[in-house]
Amino acid sequence: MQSTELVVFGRSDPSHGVQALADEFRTIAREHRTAVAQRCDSCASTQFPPMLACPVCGCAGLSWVSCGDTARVGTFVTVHTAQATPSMSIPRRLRAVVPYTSVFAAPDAVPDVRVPALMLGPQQRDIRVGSAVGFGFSDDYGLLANLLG
Amino acid sequence: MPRLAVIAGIGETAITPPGSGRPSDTMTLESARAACLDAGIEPSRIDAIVKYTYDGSLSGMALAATLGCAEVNALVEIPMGGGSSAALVDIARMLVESGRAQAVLCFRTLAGDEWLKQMITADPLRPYYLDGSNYLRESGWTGYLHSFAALYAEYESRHHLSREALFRSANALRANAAKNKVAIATTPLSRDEYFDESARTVGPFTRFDEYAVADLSCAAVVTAHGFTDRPDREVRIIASAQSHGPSAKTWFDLRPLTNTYPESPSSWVARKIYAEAKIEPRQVDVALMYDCTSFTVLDLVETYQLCEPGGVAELLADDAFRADGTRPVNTHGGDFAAGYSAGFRHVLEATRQLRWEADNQVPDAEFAVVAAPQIGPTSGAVLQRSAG
Repeated sequence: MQSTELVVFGRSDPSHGVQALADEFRTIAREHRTAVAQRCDSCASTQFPPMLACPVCGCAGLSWVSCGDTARVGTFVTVHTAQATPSMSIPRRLRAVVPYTSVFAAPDAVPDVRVPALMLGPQQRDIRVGSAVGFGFSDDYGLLANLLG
Repeated sequence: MPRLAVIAGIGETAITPPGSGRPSDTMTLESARAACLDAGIEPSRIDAIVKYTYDGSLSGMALAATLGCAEVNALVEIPMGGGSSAALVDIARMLVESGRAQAVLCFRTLAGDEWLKQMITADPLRPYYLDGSNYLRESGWTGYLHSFAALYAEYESRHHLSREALFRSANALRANAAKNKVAIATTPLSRDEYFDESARTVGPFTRFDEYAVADLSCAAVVTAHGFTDRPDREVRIIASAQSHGPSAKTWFDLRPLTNTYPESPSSWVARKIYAEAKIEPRQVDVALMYDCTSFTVLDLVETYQLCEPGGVAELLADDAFRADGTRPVNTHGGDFAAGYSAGFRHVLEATRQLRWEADNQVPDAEFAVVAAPQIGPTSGAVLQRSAG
């Protein structure tokens, strides 16, 4: 069930292709400092990442919506090393904060999607699938997830 | 009488560690010719070629010209990464059973060092490739291991699978590899080296939990039953399928953003191929499961219902993956230990097992299942020993 009361940040513009859509997403997310998903103006289904058209009804009318402040952890990955290997590379700006955890969380307001966020600090030891998290935003690290309770 | 597609021939080059210096195009030619020789047909009779998109060794067009193919009825590239392995066989089967082609060559070649570079290089011909970077990099995504580490966390939250089990998985595959004449990683891992904290990488993994990089090329020829004069060497393709599963995404690395686990592209394929083959999972004599990591293979064993949900740890404890074990898996050591082939060597090993010619033979093997990975559009097949 999709909330009809999500905050809408404006129309998403898929007409310039997938990379422009990704660039637009980053701009919206940074401007509003929150988790953002895409919602179909016609059928109200939500998706993340954003798509060129609604995969449910095919409508090209899509909007950016806020995902609210809280979520549940769907899955997570903790990175233990700052050293690259032939098959993996650590984002440069995160090497100084290893260990860090990529969290893939289902927002309470938009439970059909998962959005990626970053978790830092000692709280990582306590993260579990199903943990309740709150979203924050950092200029350096983007969307953050912090354990609640 | 419907045409039945069979694997008529297989061939491959020597497997070496990366950096052998062997050009990938000549490796492809070598394995293609070897597969034709094994099938007992002249290369000129190949009239269709199916390859992985991401195999830059030799284009289908160039290979057809070099082999002297009298005609080409189809040149097909499959863009599903590791998910392509059984898909090559599936497409070849479609071509043969529809009568559109007579002898289809399928192949995969990897020069290991080039492959590693390719994996992390943006490709303007694959714009969605950047979705991993665009949407996941900011939260720390590191590469393909991230997706499988995320899958592990979902599995572990349901069934508990310790790092001890991954250690056993890695060593089970190495033990199987050691029973083969050709394999890269055959030495058992010690507990000290595996559990050394400095070896940790991502999620539950260490640097010992990834596939063995290699230089290799492997090929198979698919024809209709009876096309060659060697029916006793045919292996029947009795089921094959592809699927993008529930919650399709635009790129493999986005799998952690789905919420359908344990349902996956592979669970959808598994149901399709068992239904088509009209066999139960318990009838599978040998399973060739994609194994880019020590966990990937374990999850696929369960996805393909080769044990009860949550039961794979017990299989490992019982050493069941051996050829003489209760659940033979990746008897060649898989890509994990024998050398990475994006899953296509699993087709060759299945063929050898069903011909009863494998180095690490499962007694009386009649049915083999080949499974590609579970994180994107994928494929699978059931092969059967020929009655002839």
